[in-house]
Amino acid sequence: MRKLIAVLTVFLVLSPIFAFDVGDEPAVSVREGELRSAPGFLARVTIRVDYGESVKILEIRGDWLRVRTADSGDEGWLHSTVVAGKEELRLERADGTTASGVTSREIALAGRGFNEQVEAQYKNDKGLDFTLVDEMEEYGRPVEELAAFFADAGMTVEDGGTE
Amino acid sequence: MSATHRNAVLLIVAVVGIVVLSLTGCEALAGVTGELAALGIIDEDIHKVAEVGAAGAEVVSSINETFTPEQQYYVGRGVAAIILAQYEPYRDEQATAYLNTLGQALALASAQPFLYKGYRFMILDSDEINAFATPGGHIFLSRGMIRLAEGEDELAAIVAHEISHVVLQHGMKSIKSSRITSSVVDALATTAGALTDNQIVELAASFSGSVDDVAQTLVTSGYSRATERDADAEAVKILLSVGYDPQSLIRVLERMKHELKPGGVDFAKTHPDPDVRIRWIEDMLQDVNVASGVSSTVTQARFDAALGGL
Repeated sequence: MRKLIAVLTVFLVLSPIFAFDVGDEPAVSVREGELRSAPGFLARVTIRVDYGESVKILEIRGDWLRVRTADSGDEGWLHSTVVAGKEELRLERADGTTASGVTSREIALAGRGFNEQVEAQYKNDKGLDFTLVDEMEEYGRPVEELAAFFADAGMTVEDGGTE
Repeated sequence: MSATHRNAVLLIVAVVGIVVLSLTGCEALAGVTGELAALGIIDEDIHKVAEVGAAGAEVVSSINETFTPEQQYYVGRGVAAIILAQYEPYRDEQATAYLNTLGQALALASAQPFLYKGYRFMILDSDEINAFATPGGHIFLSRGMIRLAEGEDELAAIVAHEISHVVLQHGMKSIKSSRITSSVVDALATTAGALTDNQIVELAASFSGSVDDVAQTLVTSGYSRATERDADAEAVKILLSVGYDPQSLIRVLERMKHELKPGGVDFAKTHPDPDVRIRWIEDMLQDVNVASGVSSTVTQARFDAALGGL
């Protein structure tokens, strides 16, 4: 019995917990979603997709989604954590209809709340300098370097759906 | 209650807990649960896991309902600006590049491998033993903190703990509920129509208050012990996943114990006593066998090359 509980629990924990199906059209939830050539963290990045751009899910493998972008029609693999439902991102047009069909630029502009404008006001009120924050955000390392970092030392990173 | 009955009840509790987790789609909490399973304590402690899962899921889900990833990122930028108003960056291109490669590689093994603008790491020119992680993924480590590490696995342990605070959304959880008035929720949630002047004023006040809450927690008051324990558990999971020996976290805490000065305004003030953390990490690692295939010759050489001058 105890063993059954353990097995069942592990099964439930490991089963995919995001709520996407093939055919769904979520939107990119990070500033620049990286479309990869294969379902794996260290796969080559083929193109970047902007925040808010709609993608259609063509295939699901583990944590990876093969998608087609609405704007350019490019296909590739995105990690399931870099997309979200449009409702969740509150990507709606000014007239209140959902965002599918509008360009990514329009969608991004529709995003409100804590954003660039609010930050600009905060910066003035507090007299804070964001120069170093901007500089720090440029410290991203290319995926090829991360791959080499892992490979050189014989380290691993789980590759989602490639097994 | 007979053993069979008790097991049946446990099973139901576990299933309900996990289903609640699944429905909320919370990767971070699933990560914690997965970690417990990986550490082999989920079988023994199944009841507790289900309870923690259900309660925690509610909190995280309300953060995600209130704030989009973009908004969490902007809160993080504000917190980063406050930290950088108090500390100077340490200018060393090689050390910074190495720290970012290590940190961004570790993040891939976390439950939240990607953020709105990714994980970014900066070294602060300070002898304090300190580190901060904003909800936007801006992670700061003082020179004093980095100097505690004698090898890459130990630095990885420090960094994995900070990444875990971001993954588990600890910063966002420290925002006081009073910052999120109904008017602010409307302004955050609605996209139709222009904001009223009142909403704009309230939104700005809410942003400022939220940034202050997170910065205050990171710099002055610290998280609760339970929160720090969760971050250590998540860090252990990340280290295991990549192949580093999680004992490195204990080794670096041992050294921290000797270096922290009583009354200091750094980790001496904001974190539980290293001995307390060492004890719970030892508990987490009790049944974990680490067969690490990581080449320590390679990791030590690149660690020394990048950070030797620190």
